[in-house]
Amino acid sequence: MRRWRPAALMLVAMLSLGACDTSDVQLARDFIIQWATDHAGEIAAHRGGALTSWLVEKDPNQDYVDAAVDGYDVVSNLQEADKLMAKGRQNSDPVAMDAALTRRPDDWSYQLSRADLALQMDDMTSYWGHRNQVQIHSIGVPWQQIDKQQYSELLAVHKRLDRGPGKVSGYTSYQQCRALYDALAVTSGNLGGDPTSTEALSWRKREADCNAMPH
Amino acid sequence: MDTTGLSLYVLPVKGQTGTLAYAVLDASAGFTFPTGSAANPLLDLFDRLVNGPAVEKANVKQVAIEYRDPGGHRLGVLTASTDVIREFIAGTIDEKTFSAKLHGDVDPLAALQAGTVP
Repeated sequence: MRRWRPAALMLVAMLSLGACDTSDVQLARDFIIQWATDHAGEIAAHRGGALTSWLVEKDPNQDYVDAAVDGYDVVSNLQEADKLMAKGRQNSDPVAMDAALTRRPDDWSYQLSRADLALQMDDMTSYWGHRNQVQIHSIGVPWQQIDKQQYSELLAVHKRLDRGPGKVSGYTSYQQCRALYDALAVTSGNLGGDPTSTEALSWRKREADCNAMPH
Repeated sequence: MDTTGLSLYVLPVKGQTGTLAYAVLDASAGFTFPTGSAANPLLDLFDRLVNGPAVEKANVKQVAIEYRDPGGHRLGVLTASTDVIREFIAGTIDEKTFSAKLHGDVDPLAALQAGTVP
């Protein structure tokens, strides 16, 4: 049996106010407010935390209900992280990417983007570290999904660094040059279903150009 | 359906094998309710979400809808199990019963402020 507290009664009073118009937004708002009025005890109990949680009857799916009601924090964190990662991807900004990763360190997609940016910046220790994290956090993820992102990002890195066939002046180290072309060859071969495809072999050819660099 | 301003997240639920589909309807990001929707646009969205292709694939057991008004204020979140939503869609339960089976949280101040936003 539910018991009502002053907070709940105040909530009912506050929510009972408000005008109506016929727009869908207003209809939605009216429905939310009506629902809140009818469930003021539940809302007050939730907002009161452990002290008042005994006020409400538990739903058989209570774990799911709790996850939904507390989902705001999870989703807000996710949205903030996504914004930071989008900024990092757009501006090649490692600080923004690292901030996103602080919020979601287990996100393989973030880890992959950070790895590819590290490769672009010739930070090879970071590159291999984030690549390892991709492997750790992508268990169960279809490899095509990973390789598609990888190839797309590597093409962008290549576009930024490449100075044309036979030229390696855009790269700052042999390791960077080799790692980029090797990854391009592997992912294009995977996605094309043939590691000896024309595209994969053309990347291997470019990889051989890296030998002109001191190593 | 125009998905501008609509973000859908499928979240794991601790201790459960099923997942939670959490939709954010953000009017400040351009969300508008689908045209031609039923009398109650929110309930119509529950219907649309539970019939989406991702729901079955991701073993969604619960659907939550969070609404943010044109000012970006979060009015609240309403949630129901997919079973209850399906009962409502099938007509086994009416809107009043469905509403009674909904759970959630509403920010009363934001709900009041929303009424003043054009």
